[in-house]
Amino acid sequence: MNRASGPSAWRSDLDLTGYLGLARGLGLQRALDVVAGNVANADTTGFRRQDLVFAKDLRHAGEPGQVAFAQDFGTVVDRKEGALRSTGAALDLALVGPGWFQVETAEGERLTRAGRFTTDAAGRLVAGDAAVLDNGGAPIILPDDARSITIAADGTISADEVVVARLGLVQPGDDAALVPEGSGRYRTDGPIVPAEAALVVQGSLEGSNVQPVREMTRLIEVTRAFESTQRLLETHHDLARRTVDRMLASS
Amino acid sequence: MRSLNIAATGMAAQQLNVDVISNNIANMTTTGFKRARPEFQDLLYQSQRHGGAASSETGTTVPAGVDVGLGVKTAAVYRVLEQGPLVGTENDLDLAIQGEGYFVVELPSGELGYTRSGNLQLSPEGQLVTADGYPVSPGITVPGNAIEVAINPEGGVSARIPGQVELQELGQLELASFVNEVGLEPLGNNLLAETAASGPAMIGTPGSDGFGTVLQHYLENSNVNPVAEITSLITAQRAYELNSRVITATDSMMGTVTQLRG
Repeated sequence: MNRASGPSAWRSDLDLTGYLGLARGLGLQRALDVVAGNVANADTTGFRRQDLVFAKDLRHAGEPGQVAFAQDFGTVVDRKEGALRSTGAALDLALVGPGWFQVETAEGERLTRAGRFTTDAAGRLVAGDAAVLDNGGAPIILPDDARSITIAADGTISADEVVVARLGLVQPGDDAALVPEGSGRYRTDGPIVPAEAALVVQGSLEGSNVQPVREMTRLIEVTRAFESTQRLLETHHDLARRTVDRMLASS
Repeated sequence: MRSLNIAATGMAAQQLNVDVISNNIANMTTTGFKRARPEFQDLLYQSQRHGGAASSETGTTVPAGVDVGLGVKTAAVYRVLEQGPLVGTENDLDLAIQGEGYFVVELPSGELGYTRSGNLQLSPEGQLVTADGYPVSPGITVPGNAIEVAINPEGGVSARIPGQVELQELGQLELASFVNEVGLEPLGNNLLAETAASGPAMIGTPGSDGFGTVLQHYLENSNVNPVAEITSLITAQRAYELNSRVITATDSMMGTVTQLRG
């Protein structure tokens, strides 16, 4: 959308339709990108599908030239849970209920639902290159001579029946927004509160919450909306051309 | 149009998924084989509109940004460690581990390998070796005149020698266990190697705390479940198709644009 154009540009009716179509078309392209991202991650552990939210961007409200642009307002993370699948590995953890694991990355603390954890050379419990944090915000060290690791539903980790640590299970407070950062990690700028209702399932992983049927429907919807927008632009151009033709013919 | 590339990453991921599934199916009857599963992660996100950015001169801010993901990547292909079914073979030197643990094998390089595949044999010198001829660690030698080899659930190996009433004890089998078994690196030939991710091997006798028992005359079959693999194959194929539909849709949108009459 051309935000730099002054009011005079908006009010010229011939241009306005073009700008409306352009704004809608660009928004729909991004909507398709979001659908493509969801579809590509239909099999990604702990993935949360995204939705693109459109909003009315009202210009010259209450004035004769009032016009509403369709603006892609923001992406939201769908927090619905994915299905669990059993893997049998002791350090594969899934969460049931609202809650997130907390991991320490180079950029700071992040949230994740992808619970495929391993241990690193120092014996720390890690998710890729990030250390998994306990309920006190410290990395969890597993004794390297432990024969069995048991993780209870409340996140208590025991090595050979000796309690080692308790996983930090958190959720963003006040429904703060989640910003995806890739690798199954999310950032939140709001406060983080303990997740009381989340349960840990050992030996399982949570799948993606993408529903193929839903994404397919959305895909068709976006394609059709894009076509009709382009048709609108075409009609608008036709109209302009005929006006010019008729003006020339009558002069 | 980012969606073209995004869908391409999705197709590549599903291609790998099919590769892994086909390897599982190919190893459906491989002794001690553990089925593999790819692990995917979302790629980084691009901010089209930053959350928290100013949306007017009066100080209002955008509450949520438009973050568009760039697709999917493969994080790992890991083994699923469920116990495989045990099959009876009547063979004295066929062993299955019931529970945790791996047989320890001395590789030609001098390093140690680990395996769940217990179809052992005898070398010309009478040593217990794997199907590839690598000796089991610690080495156990069966005398040439032995009629029968007996291996108890705790891994004690003994032999019946003609003219002797008592069984002659030959040695003790040992098993290795790891904190993070998934971290073991597959070497092929049913062998696995220790890595930093798996942690160091802990050696113990079968049946002791944290180790499974050894079952003579049985082999552990592969834990590949053909029905589950075929279901995954169908899912992977459909997911592949779905991604290709995204490409078609993107293409049709681009077509609409190029056919636009000004």
